[in-house]
Order: sequence, then structure tokens, then C-alpha cells
Amino acid sequence: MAQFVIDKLTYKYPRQHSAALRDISFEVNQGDFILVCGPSGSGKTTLLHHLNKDTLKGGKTSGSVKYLGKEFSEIPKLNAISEVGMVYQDPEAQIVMDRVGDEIAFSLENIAMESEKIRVRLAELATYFGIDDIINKKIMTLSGGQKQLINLCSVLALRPNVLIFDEPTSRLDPLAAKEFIKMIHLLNQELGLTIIMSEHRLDEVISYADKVIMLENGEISFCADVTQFAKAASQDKSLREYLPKIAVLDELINGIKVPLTVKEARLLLADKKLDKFGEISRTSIASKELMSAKNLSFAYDYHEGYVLKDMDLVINESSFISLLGANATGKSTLLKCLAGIVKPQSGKIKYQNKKVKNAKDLSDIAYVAQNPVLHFSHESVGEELNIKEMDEYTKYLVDLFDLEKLLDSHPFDLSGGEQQKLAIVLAMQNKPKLLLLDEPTKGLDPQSKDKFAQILKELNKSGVAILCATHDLDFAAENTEDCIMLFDSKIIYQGGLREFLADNNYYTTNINLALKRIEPRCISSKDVLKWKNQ
Amino acid sequence: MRFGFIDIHPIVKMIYFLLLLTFIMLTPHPLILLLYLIALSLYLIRLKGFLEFRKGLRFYLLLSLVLTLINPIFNQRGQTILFTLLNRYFTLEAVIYGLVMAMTFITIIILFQIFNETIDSHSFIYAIGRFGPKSAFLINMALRYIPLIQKRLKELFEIRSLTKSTKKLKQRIKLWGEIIGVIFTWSFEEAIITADSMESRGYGLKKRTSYLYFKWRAKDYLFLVLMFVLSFIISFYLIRGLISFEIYPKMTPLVVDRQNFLAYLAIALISSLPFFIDEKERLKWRNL
Repeated sequence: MAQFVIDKLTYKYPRQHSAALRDISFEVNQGDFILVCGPSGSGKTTLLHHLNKDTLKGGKTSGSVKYLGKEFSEIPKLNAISEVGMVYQDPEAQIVMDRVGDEIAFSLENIAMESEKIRVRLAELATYFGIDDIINKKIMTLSGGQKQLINLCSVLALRPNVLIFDEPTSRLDPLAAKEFIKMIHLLNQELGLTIIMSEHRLDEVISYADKVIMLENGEISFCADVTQFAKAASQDKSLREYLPKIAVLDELINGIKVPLTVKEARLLLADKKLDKFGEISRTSIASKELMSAKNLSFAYDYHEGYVLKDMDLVINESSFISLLGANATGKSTLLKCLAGIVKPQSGKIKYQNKKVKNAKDLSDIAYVAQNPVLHFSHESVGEELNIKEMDEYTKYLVDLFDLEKLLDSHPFDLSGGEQQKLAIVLAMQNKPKLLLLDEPTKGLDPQSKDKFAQILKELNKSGVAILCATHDLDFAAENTEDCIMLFDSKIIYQGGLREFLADNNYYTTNINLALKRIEPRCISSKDVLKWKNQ
Repeated sequence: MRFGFIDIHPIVKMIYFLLLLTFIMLTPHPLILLLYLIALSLYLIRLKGFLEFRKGLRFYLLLSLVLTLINPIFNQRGQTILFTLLNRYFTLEAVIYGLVMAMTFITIIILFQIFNETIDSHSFIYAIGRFGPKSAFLINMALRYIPLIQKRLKELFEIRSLTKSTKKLKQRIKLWGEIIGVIFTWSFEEAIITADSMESRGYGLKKRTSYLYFKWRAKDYLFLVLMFVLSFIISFYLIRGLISFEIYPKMTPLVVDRQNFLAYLAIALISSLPFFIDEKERLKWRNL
């Protein structure tokens, strides 16, 4: 018998005209790894909530969700909560307690388990996941990846059979995301848990999944196993974006199988004769210097070491630079320094050929923090932008960033990508020459990310220099020509991104890894398409 | 140091602090307060180091000066007139009353600092949870939110100070209003997910238990017994009025005699109990 049987599920949120889910039917077997994908607002979260022991309040449901042949309303609540567990998107918001141990014990305390038993279970989980050294730490001091792992543990404490994940890695950096996905794969393989997961970033997940369900406007538009999905998606332009970036190599290979991992791609490329990749020219030639820093050093506290040490850097007018580096190497701090939010202890900053004496000299630099919510203070997007007295430039920006239709919405109700766009428009209102972005592509679905990249390029063409801290190498490779790499609180590379990645053997895009032996200069899907069409 | 008083059972520690707090508040007596002050300060120095203690010292001295001086300005009672100014009497009794007030205040502050250093959130929640599990749970949640909201406030201020001038008071007040508004919206938005996650993990299905557990050992019982014996002696003297101190209309003479010597000894002992325990533990380690 199938574990989950979803039959003609339709759901309408209260006070909404159209249904959020329409005629959804599928089955899930014990041990399946199911991927639910689709653009933002396609009903992924709503569907997952339906599978999670009806936690949805209000609204109208028809059709049925049956777990082992029974509706959740027929299963006693106490049994239901130990069958299905759910991990949400935001690592912070689902946490209840102050410390790691308390959080993991939370669910067990709720079902009134005896305290000796809880302690045994806590020890068991902590040992299995290797988190015994942080068990007494405050959750606030942990990284996003660790927080999400704690959330997973606290759900696993109830020993569920099914785990539901709602975009669990969208707020994590790629490395932490990779770790987390591996952990889920392990649970699926070693313990045979059923995994149902919605995700944008399929690069890591897709090779572990069994089945893909594609949602569009609340309906299932595609439902098949992974290899079928890959083949179909490589033909269909709208689905293509959901495949890992490396699938683009199919264009060069034209084989029966679409490569989903570097290994597959290398095997498929091995016996292919390819034309030589032509000359690659830079589209923009370095122009006038806009901003420069010399011997910039910064520490947050007298007792702690330098976060930035003796940094020299140059930002040219209308350049588009990606700021690379692992977590906690000082990317955000460098941006804050250049934006004038924190004052460096030593070093000189020159902006538009003038020495910067205080934060005021940097006041026309636009800075957008990692969390766009920090920039909002009004009830609607219109108020936020002050539309009544909107000038020409703001109108141009609203048009460019496609915010026209959102003017009446509350900034907190926007999707991640829309929030990011709004924050940029707000920061850009007084026509700055330089835009500093901190991880702008975090949590964007592939479609929004492509659109977002196009807008940034447009803005860049109009003469705005952009410095963009990012973990997303594919995004950097497709859109930026220069990069700055931070390591050990120093700048260890500044220059062309292509040369940098071509020379790297580990820290580079998957496409580049697959083509390393054939054409190391090829770093992004754009290059691959250019190669094919030359 | 992770041994000694810090390692005593949370419930014993809580009772100790409660008893001490009561005694300090019930005996507005300069000599006795001085005893508490010395013993507790010594222990605080031991916990935090003299450098950290010195940071607070300036504040204590300033506070005691202000409290000592303010009382005589408003209070003209007392027999020993020091001087008259603008037709007002300034009396020695009023100054001493102010001094006693200041000493009580500072002793309590120091006691709370020791509390902070020796009781971590787990011991606190465990001790409270025995009597009110719901309030213990609420406190645990609050413990997470206070630093979280502080962090967010800081982030918000950083960003806002970029685009908005904060020179004038009016602008600053407006900025504060804005930021608090954002914090509220943000927190409520998050609370929906938190509630979902709590319900999904079975909150409210049964009466909650607690996994926290602290063992009772011989040294905990010993501490408890010592503490109760000493408290009994102090209470006896307190109830008999043998260590009371009157300022108005006439000041009680400050003497230590055979009649109340035992009370002073008991107070000195009870307030240096943590110190003794730590010392005993330290010797054990040195002998290894």
C-alpha cells in the first residue's frame, strides 16, 4: 500500500478568488525521495502543509490526503505528530528555545516523555549527527547551516517516518546547502525515511531524488522519475531552468542522456570531437577609477583579530565585480566598510578621486544588506517608494525592476526576489554611481534569478558600478567579468573572473570542472551556448 | 571556575539567594550591611577578577554618594544638626539614613551579579520549572528573543543611519518609531511560522515534562543544612529585635557585644559560604 495517497486535492485560501491547489493527485511510497519544484507562488508550500498533519488553518479543501489509508483527522494527534515531521525554509523562525539541547528535547517534552528517556534520545541524536560539542550552545551563535541541522534533529527526535522539507537550503550558502542535502540523502538511504522536499536549487538534490513533481499555478504540470524529467526538461525551455547548470552541456553532446553531475558529463564528453572554442573578448574595457582603497584594516573588537587586513582594491566606473570567498572571510564587512556603515581602523578610501574623511563622503553609495527586510519601514511598496513625489529616475527604476504591479502589496508579503528588487530600488533612489550588494541571489528560484541578473546587467550598462558579494559561482560566471577573492581576511586575487576560474581546479563552476581538460576558459552556460553557435 | 559554589544544586542556590536577599532587605543596619558588602564583593572579585569588578566600582561609589546626599536635602528629621543652609537643617541622622539606603542598594546589586555569574539559564529554568513549568517555558522562550531582537535592532540602526540623518532629536524619535514598527512586523510575521513549527512538534497536546536534571549529592545537602542553621540563628536575632537599627528619633548605638555577637558571626559566615566552598574545592585541586 502506498504511504501517501493524494486524490484530487483542491485548496482555496480564505478571501482568495482562485484556488492555490487544483486537482492534485499523486502517490508516495515508503522510502521515496520526492522533489516538488516550480516557480515561486506555484503552491509548493501549500501542498507541503497539506501533507503535514493538517496544520493549515481556514480555507476550503476538497479531495483527500490519506496517510496509510487514513485521513489525518482520523489519526489521533499524538500518533500523527510522530509519523510526519516538517522542516521549514527560515532556519531562525521555527526555533523555539534558547539552546540546542532544549530545542531538540522540545518535541519530546511536549509529548510528556519521561526525562530519563528524553536524555537518552538526545544523546543518541547528538552522537549520530556529531553535534555533541554544541549541545549546550546558544542557537543564536550558530551558522545558518547548523541551525537548519538543529531543526532537522528536533523533528527527528519524534522518530517520524516521513520528512517534509520546504526549501530547506534556500537561506543557506551553497556549501552549507550541500552538506544539508547530503544529510537528507543519508537519512533516506540509511534509515529509509520518506523525503518530500520542495527546492529551487536542484543542482545538488536532483541526483539523489527518485521522482520530480512540477507545480505550476497550483496544478501538477509534470510528474515523472528523474531521468525522464531530465530528458523532457532538456527539450522544454521553461523546464530547462530547473535542471542543474551542468545539463547545458547536453547542447555540445547531443546524446541520449542529459548529464546531471560532473562525472556523467566528463564520461559523455570523453569521446566527443569538439571544434575549437574561439577567441573570448571582454565586453567592457577597464575605464576610469571610481573608488579605491589602500591598506584597509578593520576589526570589530579590540580583543578580536582583524576581519579585514591591509586590503587594496580598485573599483572602476561601470564595472561589475563579484566578491567571492567562504563564510566569515569578511565579505559583508568589506561591503559595510565601503558603504560607510562601519569605520575602518586604518587605511585610505578614495571615492571619485576624493579622499573619504567620514561616512558623509560615501553617502551616495547604494548598499543593500543580505536581508532586504532591513530596508523596509512602510505598509506598502508604494509608500516605501513615496510614489506621490516620484522623480524620473525612480520611475525608470520601478519600470526596470518591474515593481509596477506590486505597489499596493505589503513589503513583507513579497517573495524573496521581489523584496531584493524593492530594496535595491530604495537604495538606488538618489542616483548612486556604485551599488553594493550582499548575497542578492540567496533563495531565488532559477527564473527569478535569471530575470534579476538581466536587470542588474541593464543597470550596469546605464553606468552604475556593481560590487556583489556572492557564493553563487554560476551567477558570478554568467554575469560578472571581474572578481575579488577574500581569504584569511586578505584580498588574495583581484582581476578577471575567467582567468581566475580557468586556473582553479576545485573552486570553480561545475561546467568548468567538466570541461577543464578540454577548454578551461569555458566557465558558464553562456559560454557553452556561444561555443555551440559559433 | 566550574567547581565549588557554581556546581551546587540549582534549587539550593536559588534558596540561598532568596534567603540572602530577604536578610539584606530586613536589616537596614550599617555594620551588618558592611559585612554583607565585604563578603559578597570579595566573592564577586573572585568570580570576575578585580579588573572587571573595578569597572562597576565607579558606578557604585557614584550611586552611594548621590543617595547619601539626596536624603538629607529632602529629609530634615533627626537631632544632630550638622549645619543649616537656606533655612533648612542638615542632620547627621539623615545622612546615615541615606548611607544605609545606598549600602542596601549596592549589596543587592552585587548579589544579583553573583547570581548572574553562578546561575546559568538551565539551572534557573530547572529551579523555576519545579514550581511553575509554564513560566519556566515562557522564560526560556524570552531568553532567546531578547538577544535576537537586540541583534536585529543593531542591524536596522546600521542601515537606517546610512540614508537618514540622525542629528536632531525629532528625527531620532521618528527613526526609533520606524524601527520599532519594523521589529514588530518582523516578529509577528515570524511568530506565525514559530507557532506552526510548535504545533507540528506537538506543543499543547499533553502537560510538558522537562529533560533537565540535576543530581542531589552529599555536598548539596551539607550546604543546605549549613545554610538553614545559619539562617535560623539570624532569624532568631532578627525576630527578637537584637540586631535592629533605629535612626529616628534617636540613633541606636553601633556596638558588637556578647548579646549579638553570634548574629554577626552567622551573617559573616552565611555571606561567605560560596567563598569557603570554592576555596575548599581549589585546595582539592592543588593537592592533586
